Amino acid sequence: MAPGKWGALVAAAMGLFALVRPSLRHAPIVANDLNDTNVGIASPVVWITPAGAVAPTAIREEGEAQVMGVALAALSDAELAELEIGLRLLAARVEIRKNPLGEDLEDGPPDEAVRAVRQRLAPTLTAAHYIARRTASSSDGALTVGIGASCTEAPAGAPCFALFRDGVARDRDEGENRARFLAWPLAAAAVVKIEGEGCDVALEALRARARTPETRIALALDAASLAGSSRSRADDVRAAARAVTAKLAPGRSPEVDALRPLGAPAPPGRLVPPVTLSDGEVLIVPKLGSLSQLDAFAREIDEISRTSGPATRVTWRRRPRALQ
Amino acid sequence: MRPMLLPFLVIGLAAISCGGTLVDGSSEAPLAASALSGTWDLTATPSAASSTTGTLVLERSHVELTVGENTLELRGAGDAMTLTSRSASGVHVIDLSRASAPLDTGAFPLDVGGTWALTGTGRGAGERCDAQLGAGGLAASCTYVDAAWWHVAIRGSLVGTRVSTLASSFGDLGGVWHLSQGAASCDATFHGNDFKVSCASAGTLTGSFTAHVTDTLASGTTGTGGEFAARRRHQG
Repeated sequence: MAPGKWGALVAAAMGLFALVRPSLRHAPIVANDLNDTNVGIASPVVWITPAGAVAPTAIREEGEAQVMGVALAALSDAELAELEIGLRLLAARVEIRKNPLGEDLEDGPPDEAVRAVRQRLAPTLTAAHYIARRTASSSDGALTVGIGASCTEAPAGAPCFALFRDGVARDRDEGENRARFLAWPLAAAAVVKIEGEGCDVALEALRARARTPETRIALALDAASLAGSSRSRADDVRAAARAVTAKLAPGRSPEVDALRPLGAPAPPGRLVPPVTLSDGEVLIVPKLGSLSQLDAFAREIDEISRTSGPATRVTWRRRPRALQ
Repeated sequence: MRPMLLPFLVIGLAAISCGGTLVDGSSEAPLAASALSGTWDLTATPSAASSTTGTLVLERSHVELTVGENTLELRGAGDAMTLTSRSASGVHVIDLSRASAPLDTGAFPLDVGGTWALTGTGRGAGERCDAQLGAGGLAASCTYVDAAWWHVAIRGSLVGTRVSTLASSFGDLGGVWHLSQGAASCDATFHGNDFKVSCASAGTLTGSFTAHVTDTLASGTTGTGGEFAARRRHQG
């Protein structure tokens, strides 16, 4: 595959971590509670929806704009900047190719560049897709769950549990454990608090780490993003995506069509409504493909924290345990 | 099973038959014999743009993978089994007969060692493979496999050799395997509770796949960004 200049630009962005990492040193992570009790954070909840039950407040299912909002919030500033440049270049190439007298000097068709980037972002988009869901069902239809900030959102009488586990006594409850699996992005998530002068750099490192091939991290979302604050660089990416899609009618290119949700306005309200964090706290979501290795996922966060600068303190707020 | 998802899930199924040293070097207890028996809930993203769920039943004489309306089922006992694929396009049946031979598959419950004859029936008439699977290798010779149905074109000889031995939760499968069929080749490793495979010139199976399994969870990734996770329902 010849991703062309856009792909190369974004690939360069994905390698940003290698540039950032040497500047991060020391600061061991502090294990507040190795037994996994969440420390001072409100746990999202999952409930098992009885057949025909109606929730007290209708849950708004999130669409592709929400998924893209989560994905953009998870990218580092440098990644967003490179992505915007890539999209601007793609728009120019599409325009040139529309002109019979124009000559596209880049390698490969523009679609290939889009495919290359989507493949690179696949774990991010996958986790964004799942964490944006507010309901989920087992494939056999026997179990449907809802995910919210509080059990008051659940239908009356629905079994409802904290997703940030609060002990081992309920591990024997198969229904609860199965529900947690359906709500895996939050059931398996870590929460850390980053404090000190280097907190912005540490957050950027976490975000960029999630695009490295070997990582078990899919998303790192800070409190401001979760609260619905869209970074200006993300808005620039949205505008650049709209510039691309405006040049091709829907249906002309599946890959360019796939960019249309990226151009949607930032979704209103909280990005992941079930989760509220305080300043400095970061929600870290594992890859779906790493769910059987949550210990290794947590150790990877430990390792990243150890490379943080001496003026940065990283504290566990919720260390994930293996799903049961 | 018709959808292009099949190769991904078939490899996933293979991964569930594989197995315990974490990539970062931390040791993990090996899984007990037949530890993976049971019913597994699956969720998978063959690509970033799609996701799917399914169910996998793993028993000593019964394997059944269900994704939506598509089902791939291996059922039987002793020397006679049937492999059935059901989808909106119809039903495809392969009869299997086996002369068993010892093969310790560890945590994987299905007894698969021995000499196999696979014969298509009905719409699968004309499909035929003969295979031997033992501790040291796999050999198969196929006169015809309907690639449009199974997504894997095999015509001629498939040879698999265990080129080295590694400790694994999957008994005699533990180690590094090299498989080749014509220009296609795959290298697969069963080590501890991990499995990885990389295939070249292998059609829809071209690429890489890694997976890790515990007695409750399995998960893995493909080289193209696909991911899967599975959870075994607790018994009783």
